[in-house]
Amino acid sequence: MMRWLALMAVIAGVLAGMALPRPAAGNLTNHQLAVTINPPTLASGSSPTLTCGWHTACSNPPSAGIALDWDDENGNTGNPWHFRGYFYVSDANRTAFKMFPLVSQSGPGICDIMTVWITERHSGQLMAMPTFTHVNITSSTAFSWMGGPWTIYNSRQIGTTIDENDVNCSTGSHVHQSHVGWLPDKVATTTNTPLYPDGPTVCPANDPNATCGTFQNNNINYWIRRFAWAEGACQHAPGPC
Amino acid sequence: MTTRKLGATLLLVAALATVGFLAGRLLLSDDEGTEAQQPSVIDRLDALKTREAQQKAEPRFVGERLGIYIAPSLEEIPAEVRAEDDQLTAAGCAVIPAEQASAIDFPRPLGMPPGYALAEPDVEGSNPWAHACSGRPRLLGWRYSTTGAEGIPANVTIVRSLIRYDTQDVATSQVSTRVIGGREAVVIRPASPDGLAQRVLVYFPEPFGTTSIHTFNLSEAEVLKVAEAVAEATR
Repeated sequence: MMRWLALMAVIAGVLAGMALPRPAAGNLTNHQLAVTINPPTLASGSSPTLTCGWHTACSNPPSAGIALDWDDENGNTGNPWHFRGYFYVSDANRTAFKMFPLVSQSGPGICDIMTVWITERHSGQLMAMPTFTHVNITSSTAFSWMGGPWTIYNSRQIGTTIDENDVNCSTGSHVHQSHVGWLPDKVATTTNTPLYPDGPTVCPANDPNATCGTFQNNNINYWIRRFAWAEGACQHAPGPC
Repeated sequence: MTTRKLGATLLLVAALATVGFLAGRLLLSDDEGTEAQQPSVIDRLDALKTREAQQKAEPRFVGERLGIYIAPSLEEIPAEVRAEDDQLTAAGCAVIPAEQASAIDFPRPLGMPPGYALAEPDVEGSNPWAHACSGRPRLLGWRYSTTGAEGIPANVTIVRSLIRYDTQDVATSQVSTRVIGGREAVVIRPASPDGLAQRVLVYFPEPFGTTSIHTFNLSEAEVLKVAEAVAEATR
């Protein structure tokens, strides 16, 4: 009788130890992080022209999608494009983000697509994948940036615009800014939809290059897309990494 | 049973249950410890950047394999290699419906490995997409999406075109030829076989030009499966 009771007590204990919920494993810091992506063309403080509202292909008329086209005010290609935006960390100013510029696709017959992977230094996980098309990368070095409670603006030239006219995926020198439609669990994304117009709605349907307005590229209100997450949130659901 | 004996029994049961509880916790933490030992994405990307920097110091590939010329820039591709395509594109090109590019379509249906789906149209406006120059179909492309390294999305773009060259800034050691699915192919390998955040390219020479496979974030082994499917559809 005593042996059975002892055995049952141990088994019940093991099962309870494995089944009961655990604290957040020390991975979650209870701090919030966020990155907003701002217009990529021209030098900081300039106001590039939005040439095509939310679209996939800026054809005639544009098809609905999650990208914006940014003019670089120069008919020739070879103009700088930047990865820039505002970086938020809820607790203190600190270097919480690390970025990796990467070539996703390139070649003479296809559209050239670059991406900047945004990773969180605390967990070492990938959190967002904004993309930039019709451009190259001239500096692929990884870089780390600070964020803070009042947000910190950062900007860095990544490459230049390229001529893709023969590929039939681009007209003129501009940057097509989008993102891979995948997000790790617990990462929320928002597009600044009310600010930037839907291509078919605002840009005249018969003119895909019509001006949709200018937007100061270092104005915090003119963000294109916002990624936000709890620091330490795991890339793979559920639970801590 | 006396009160004292009952109390001792309950104490013993509680102690054993506590030991069991801690053992259960330890079992789980051992599992987590194994996972924690795996390098993070940042660690792997840092290692990749180091390897890429080392490869940058190696001689760049400039030359021809299986009739396909590869160089870092258009300027490094001989004029005679570009002449036919330059002539074709001189008068301008236009988007055409993919159905109108049947002259360069796969001779047999392409059966992609499981897990690949034709992606939503991107900047090209449709998927598949095509364009013609001087009234002749020059390129027909398809983009597939799948899950790649670390559960992160991967891209596969397959292009059949009249173009017999490509501009890729790669180390000589990354370029090789091999037989895939019974066909000779040129392969540009990634810096690490897992393919995380890297491109792998495969080119099959064709009578009209090339069939090329451009992948991102897909392991080398997985790319070879796709290339075998493409070889099967082009034999």
